[in-house]
Amino acid sequence: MDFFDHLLMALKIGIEPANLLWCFTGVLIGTLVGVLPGLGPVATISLLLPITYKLTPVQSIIMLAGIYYGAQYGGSTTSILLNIPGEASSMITCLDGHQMAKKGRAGPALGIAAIGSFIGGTFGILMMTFLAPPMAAMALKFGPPENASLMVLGLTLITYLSSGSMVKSFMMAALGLLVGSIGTDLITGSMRFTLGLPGLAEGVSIVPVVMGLFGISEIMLNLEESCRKREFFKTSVKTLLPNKQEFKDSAGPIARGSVVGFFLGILPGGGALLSSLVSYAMERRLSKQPETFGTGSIAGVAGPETANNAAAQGSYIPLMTLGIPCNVVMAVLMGAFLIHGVIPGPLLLETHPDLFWGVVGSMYIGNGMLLLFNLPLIGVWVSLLRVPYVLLFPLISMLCLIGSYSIENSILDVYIMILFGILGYLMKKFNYPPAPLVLALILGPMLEKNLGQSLMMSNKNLLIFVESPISATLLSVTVLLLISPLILKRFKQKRPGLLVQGDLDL
Amino acid sequence: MDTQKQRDVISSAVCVVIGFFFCIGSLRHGSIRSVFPNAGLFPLLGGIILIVLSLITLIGAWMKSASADREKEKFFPQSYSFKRIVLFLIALVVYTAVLEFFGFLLTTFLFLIFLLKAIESQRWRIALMISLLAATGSFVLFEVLLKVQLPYGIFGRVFR
Repeated sequence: MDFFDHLLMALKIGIEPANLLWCFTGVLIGTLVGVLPGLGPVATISLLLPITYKLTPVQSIIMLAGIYYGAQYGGSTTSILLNIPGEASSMITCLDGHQMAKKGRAGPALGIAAIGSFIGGTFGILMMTFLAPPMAAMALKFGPPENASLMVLGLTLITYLSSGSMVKSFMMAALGLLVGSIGTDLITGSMRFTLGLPGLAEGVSIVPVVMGLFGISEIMLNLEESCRKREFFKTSVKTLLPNKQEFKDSAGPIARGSVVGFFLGILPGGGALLSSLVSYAMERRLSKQPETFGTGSIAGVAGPETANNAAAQGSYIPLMTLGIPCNVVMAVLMGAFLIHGVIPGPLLLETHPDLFWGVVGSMYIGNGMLLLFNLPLIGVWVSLLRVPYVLLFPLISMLCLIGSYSIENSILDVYIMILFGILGYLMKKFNYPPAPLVLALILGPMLEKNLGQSLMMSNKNLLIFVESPISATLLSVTVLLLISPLILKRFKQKRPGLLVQGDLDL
Repeated sequence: MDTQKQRDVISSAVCVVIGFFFCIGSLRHGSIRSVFPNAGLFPLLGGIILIVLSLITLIGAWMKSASADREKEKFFPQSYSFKRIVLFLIALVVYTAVLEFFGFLLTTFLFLIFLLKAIESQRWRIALMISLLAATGSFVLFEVLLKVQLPYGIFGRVFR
């Protein structure tokens, strides 16, 4: 059966020594980044992009991918021990995880978080092994009109699922489209909005934008307040395994979290944060003892932690099979593919099957490594947190500066990063979500290219977008999404309550 | 700018202006004359969407009654917030401006010392040690181990 062939191939490539090494490096850095608040997988992957020039494409993607799902493991550590989420997606783990720690059950909380993460992650990869080939086959039948409609739907979804006001999210998406149009137009070759700067001829690079919006702005926000020392929770983390009852109570949440997390992860705009929130809400609703949620219920830790890992794994699928990034991390990872001259998308499976299956195989192995190594190393992670922020932020700033410079040895890129840092800071203060801007920046040029090609194919006839059944379906769903808030006003009121202001997948 | 309404009004007004500039700029590429995709069409559409949505936000915020407005915390939470942020930004800009002139090592070293002393002053011993270690460490990591090209600057010529 195809599934098992692919599985074997994936594992065979995954256990090659060089790939193993970089997988380990990636998940280790990922865990570290997940543990440290203030530094996230987005900024880290951007920072490490230049390093991967010297590696093969397989090794690069393996390492960078490992950072993302590794961070989902690390984030729960600080949530449970310190009530501070290392990652936005671990925010909900603070609720019950920290309460468990206060009751002396920090070990089992950490243990079930790791186990749930492993199961969720592995489920996600299995689904990927299963779904990727048929999805890629289907996507090969997509022409420019279908691709354009898919991107419009994707962009709409991302904006729809963003936290905060939908109008503001769409404003940021529009701004992203505008920034994306800076540079050389792909169809006519004319230069747009480059202000005479040769450095802008290729457009605004995503790495400085992301490092500014998420890295520099975060530092600026933290600098507003004096850098207080973090309060430390002295906990003896001796027993890491939950007891039998806790295992029993976690089984359902883990199972449900895997499925929910995976499907929310595939959705553009979905992702780890949303899935952890949905899982928590779902478990509380299904629980026989809902009043225990918030006081240290293990279901409140098991479900969300499983869901965020399943979502993280799921979110690789649209990028690698359709060529469409569905969240900011994937947008940056796309940059990594392009640096190596590999175009992610339906052709990836055909032209670079070793790359695709190698990455998949490394994910299985990486998840296993994380399960084994995370728990014993908890003491190390915790001691790292003792480094005061006032010493950390200059180092993070330095890395951001080097990172944006080294993409193209361009000083202009560093200025762009600073500019977007200021913009990101203002956006946070004025309550505008940054994710739609980043996704629109990446998807905009792609969308424009497909739009242009479609109109050339149809001789300027706009009907081409509804003539194809696939395209028509995608556009109908988009329209439904856009008018749904007007119809479901009550749903819109609940939405801000569910989603917290903050960035997905940072 | 302490209330949500004020912030919404100001920010959406700025967005209208930005959208306007992009629209004007895109018209230079002749987008209104033909439907055929030309260089100006996409940014024009984007600009129009931005303007329309910003106006919706602007008008919506303007018409919000005072009672519906949420009292927000001050824009700069502490009296020292603005100064710290400005110092940080100055450090970043100056770093970028002189990086290629003074080279990576010196610029980074001075940058780190500045941040460690000017924002929340650390002891000189610690500041010097960390700055030295971090600057040279990252140089070794990026330039030597990873072969990323870092600028040498005028003093770097001596070492080449």
